[in-house]
This record gives sequence, structure tokens and C-alpha cells, in this order.
Amino acid sequence: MAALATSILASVAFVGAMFLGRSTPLLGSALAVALAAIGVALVSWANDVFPPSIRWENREPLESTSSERTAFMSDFGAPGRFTTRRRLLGGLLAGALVGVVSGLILSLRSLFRGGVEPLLTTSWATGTRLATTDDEPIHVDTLSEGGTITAFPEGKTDAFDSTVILVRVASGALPPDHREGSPEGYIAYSKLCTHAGCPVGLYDPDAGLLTCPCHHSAFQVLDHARPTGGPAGRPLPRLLLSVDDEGFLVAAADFDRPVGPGFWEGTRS
Amino acid sequence: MRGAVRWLDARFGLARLLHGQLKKAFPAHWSFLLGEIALFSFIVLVFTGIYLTLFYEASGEMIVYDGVYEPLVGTSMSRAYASVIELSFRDHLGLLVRQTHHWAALVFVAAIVLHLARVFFTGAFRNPREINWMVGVTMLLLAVVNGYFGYSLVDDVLAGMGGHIVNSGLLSIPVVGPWLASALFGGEFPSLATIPRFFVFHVLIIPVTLGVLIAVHLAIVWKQKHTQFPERGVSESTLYGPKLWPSYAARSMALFFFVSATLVALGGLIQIHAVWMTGPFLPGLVSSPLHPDWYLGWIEGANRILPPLDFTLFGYLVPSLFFSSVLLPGVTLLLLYAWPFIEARFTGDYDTHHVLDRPSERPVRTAIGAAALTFYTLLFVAASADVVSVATAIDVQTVMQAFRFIVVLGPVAAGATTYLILSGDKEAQPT
Repeated sequence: MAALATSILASVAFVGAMFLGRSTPLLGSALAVALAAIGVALVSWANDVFPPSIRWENREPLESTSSERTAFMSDFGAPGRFTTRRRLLGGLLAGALVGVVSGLILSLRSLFRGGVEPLLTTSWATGTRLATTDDEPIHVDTLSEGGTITAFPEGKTDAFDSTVILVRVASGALPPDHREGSPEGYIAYSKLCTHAGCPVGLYDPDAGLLTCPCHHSAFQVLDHARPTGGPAGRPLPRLLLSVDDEGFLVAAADFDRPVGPGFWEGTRS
Repeated sequence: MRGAVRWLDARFGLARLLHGQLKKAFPAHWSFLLGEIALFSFIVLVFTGIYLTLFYEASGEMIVYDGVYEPLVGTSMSRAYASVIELSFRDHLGLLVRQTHHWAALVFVAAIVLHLARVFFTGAFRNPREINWMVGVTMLLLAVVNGYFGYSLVDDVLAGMGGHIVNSGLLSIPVVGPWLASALFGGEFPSLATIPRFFVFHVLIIPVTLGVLIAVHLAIVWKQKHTQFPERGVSESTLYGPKLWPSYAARSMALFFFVSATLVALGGLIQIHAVWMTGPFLPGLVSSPLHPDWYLGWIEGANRILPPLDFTLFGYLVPSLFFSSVLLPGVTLLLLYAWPFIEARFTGDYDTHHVLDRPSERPVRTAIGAAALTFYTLLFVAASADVVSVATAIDVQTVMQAFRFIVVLGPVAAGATTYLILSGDKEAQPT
């Protein structure tokens, strides 16, 4: 049986060694069979060639005997000479070690870059044009009602924290407190979910909901992106819009509060 | 061979050194192999990992792709992502190695969890093995963290979303959140420093630490000898089993080959983390459904179903994400570490135990274990709330609401049922 297993192994190992542009499943299967055949050979070798070698053993108690402990203490116990100042010396040594280790750990502060400040601003400012991911400015005629698109500050399509989700609703559907900053029915919110930062990419125009695919937070588009379902606790920050002279959508100001997930100083902007 | 062995013996005293060790008895039970399966998965991870390290580029710098995979030519992506595409498609061996590596990571953590469950339910963590239990829990933590760093390195949309979520979790920590987040990610997420930093942890710091801890873990088992079920006259002072050489060693080596064969078969036959389908991590992109690797599912489930419990403390914000992604795992880890001491306190049993419990003879511990497993499994299922929603045609918010109840009631039911069944048909109560 061991001979059979080793011969399977030999022939299949050759196939496995055929990395002549052969497909991944074939390479994987061949190598797997080669490996498994060695295993089979080992098992049959253990079963057939050797008699069952069961052995009974005693468990010695793990604890040292009292004479062993006495011998240890007599060789390594504290010498009498230093007894009076032992505590002071021990404390000072501990202090010195703590000092060095703390110094080393604190030198890792160079790993910390940024802290809170970058979280409080984005690349948006008054008058910045909205642009698509291909950096094309977005015109008032770009979307039809029910449409949605991801937008960035013009020239900054790599700015993760400035990602915006732009939707267009019917002008008549805008509630009175939403009219300002929503020219022609365009409403813009930060695309970063206030729960865990994933882009809120699912838009249902009939329900007027923006849903996040990560943990299913749902935000009411016509109510300042108030969270109505899921674990998000804060609405998406809104980017108030206006239209410039050429009919392109621009930001009226930066967001009124930090974008993305919450953090300790997040309520102060 | 006599000559060569004598040559070595003259230099190391091999015969004297090995004689006692090679005839050491190792208790044999199928469930004792789970730890070995974890070990062998780790070895496969190291070998496949070394191959990947030779071809992976740990850089977040953006380039325009111009490599062998046509559909992505002309797309903007990071160097890291491009290198993963190249090694997956330039030759078929690269994809086999990467998929085997990822499968090995999933199996590695699964084997550790099963091994932990076996040790828990049989009481093998008791005196004198408390420290080894804590070494094991540490290795579980490192394996999970390293798995997360690993699939983050490919820098596709899935990795990016994982980054958003971990970043948000760190940010949510009161007072020090933003500092911790910028320390891990090298600035405001996402930052160019992130991938190189994750790479150092994934390839060097954590694997070396794991290697050392594995050695410590095995050395302790060697010294204290393995535990054994009460059978055939086994007692606190005697054990039996096959000798290390040749029986036990042959079987262990065979298991290594079977485990590596399985992992290579999985890597070759079952696609995993097809990064060319999700696309590179770019601003504004997201895909649906989104799930992490299985061992993080329980945290993601908690993230989904925990209602918005955000509150402000003296004007400072504590987001509810803190409870599901920091407090829950933190408390879980703490309970795991402390369990041997918690149980000893409650049972008053501080004695040495080398003989294992049969789970059916310990109704309280087994019931607690059943409740805990149910809890974490239900959270794991909750992480697929959208999949459940599509399958049952129930809207996802209702599904999540249902899970909020199931996740609390389920473990209570499981624990109570287990306790009643086990305490009902025992003959003798343990003291």
C-alpha cells in the first residue's frame, strides 16, 4: 500500500510540476494530490510497518520538591550584604528600566500624524465647482429627476473626505426648509456614512432614501439626511449648493460639521 | 547512515539527548489534532506568504495600470493593487499561491477557534495550563488581526471598506480615538503611509511574534504533558499513548501533508477574493453586498444591528460604533483571557487537573459555552442581513430588527436548553 501511494505521488508530482502555463485549478489539484499521497504513504507506513507502540507514562508532579526549593534558594537567594538597601536599589533599577522603555515607546510618537485637525475640514469652499469622478464640472442640466451621481470638488477627485452624493428631486417635492441650497431640486450630502465611513451608495428615489451597503443605515433625502433606519446616529452633513453664471453647480460653503463617522470632538466644528 | 548519525552524536550527544524524548507518550484523540491543524495552516501561510512577499509592492502610490490583465488597462489604481493583479495573472502559479494563502488564513483561524472550543469544553485550561490558555488567546487575537491586515494589503474596494470601518472604530474611542486612528493608518484615512505600515505588521512583526508564541505554547505542552480523557485507567498521575517516534511523528507528518493538500486544493479550485472583480479602492466607490472574512463577521453583525446609541458626554461625542466595534470585542477578549480564573473562583476548584472533563459532565460550563457560541454565531449571521433579506424577501430593516431579539433570546435559550438536558441525565453531580 505504501508503494502504491508513493507511485501515485511520483506521477502526479510530475503533473504538478508542469507550470507550463497550465490553469490554476489544474496546478492546485495536481499539487494537492501529490501532497495528499505523501500523507497516505506516511499513514500506511505507520500502521503497517510498525507495531502499535503504546506506552504508559507517569506524570511526575510539576511542583519542585521542598528540598529542591531549599537547594535553589540557598544558591540563588538574596545575599545578606545588600539586605538593608535592597528595596531602594530594586526600586531605582525598576525606575531606570521604566524610564528607558517609556522613552523608547514615546519615540513612536512619530507614528502619529494629524490627530483631530484633518478631520474637521474638507477640500470644499464657497464657489468650488462640483465635478464628476472624471473631473467634468456638473451642469444644472446634467441629471434628470430621480438621478444621482458621485461628485468631488473640481480638481480634487482623489479627495476621499470630500466625496459628495448628489441627487436631483422634483423642485415641487422640496419641503420649505430644504429650498435654500437646493437649486433646481439638486441636493448634495457628504457621501461618507456617519456610522463607519463607507460611501453611501444606494439611492432609492421613490422612497427618497440613501442607504449605506456596509451596515444598512438609511438617510431621508428630503429631511436633511436624517437617519431613519440602521445604526447611524447622525444625519449626513449637507453641502449647500448654488449655481454659477455659466450654469454649473457650485458649493455655497464647506460642510457645516465634520464629515464621516463620529469622534470625541466631533460635535465641535 | 550509521556513520552520519555517529558523526552527529559525537557533536551533540544525540543518543543521550533524544532517547528519552523520542519515546515520550502522546495521548491520542481526534480532537487533539485541531491545534496541529492550526499549526500546519500557519506553516502553509508562511511558505505561500514568502512567495507573495517577493512579488507584492507595498505602496499606496497611484499609477495608471498597463499590465497583463486587459480589462483594467488604463485604470487608476495603487501600486499595491496593480502588483496583486500582476501576480495573479502573469502566470497561473501566482493565483494558486495567493488563493491558497487566503484560504489558509481562513482555515488557520477556524482551527484555532475549534481548538479553543475543545480546550474550553474539556476544561483543559485549568491549573497548570492557565498561562498556556492565555498564550493561545493571544495567538487567536494575532491571527485575526493579521488576517485583517492581509486582506487589506490588496487595496481593492473590499479592503478599502474594511479600512473605513476599522478607522471609524478607532475614531469612536473616547478621548484618544483620533490619535489611535492616525497612528495606525499614518494620518487621516486613507493615507499613503497605510499600506507600507500594514505590510510591516503583516509580514514581520506579527508572524515573528506568532512563531515565538507557538514555540512557547508547544514547549509548555511538552513540559506539562498533554491532558487526556478518563479512559482505560488514565488518572491524574498516569497517561498513555503512542510514542513520539515513530507512531506519533508519522501521524503528525501525515496530517501536515493532508492539511497542506486540502489548502492547495481549496486555493486551486475555489475562487476567493477575486480583486479584479471588485476593482481598486478609489474615492466614492462601494459595492454591495459587503462582507469581511468570516472571523470578523461577528463584529460586523454587531455593527449592523446595534441601534443608534450615540450620546454626548459634557459636549463630547461617544458614537454607538464604539460599543459594537470596540467594547464588544474588548470585553470578549477580556473574558476569554480571564476564564480560567473566573471558573476557578466560581467552582472553588484550584487543583491541578490533567484528566479532561467530558462536556456532558459539566452542565454549567457547557451551557455557558453553548450560549456564547450561539451568541457569536448569531452575530455572524446578522452580518449577512442583506443576504437574508434578499433570500426571504423581507426588507433589511425588519430583518435587522428581528436579529436584535434573536441575538439576545437565542443564547439564553441555547444555554438553558443545554443545561436542562445535561443536568437531567447525569447520575452524579460534580463537586
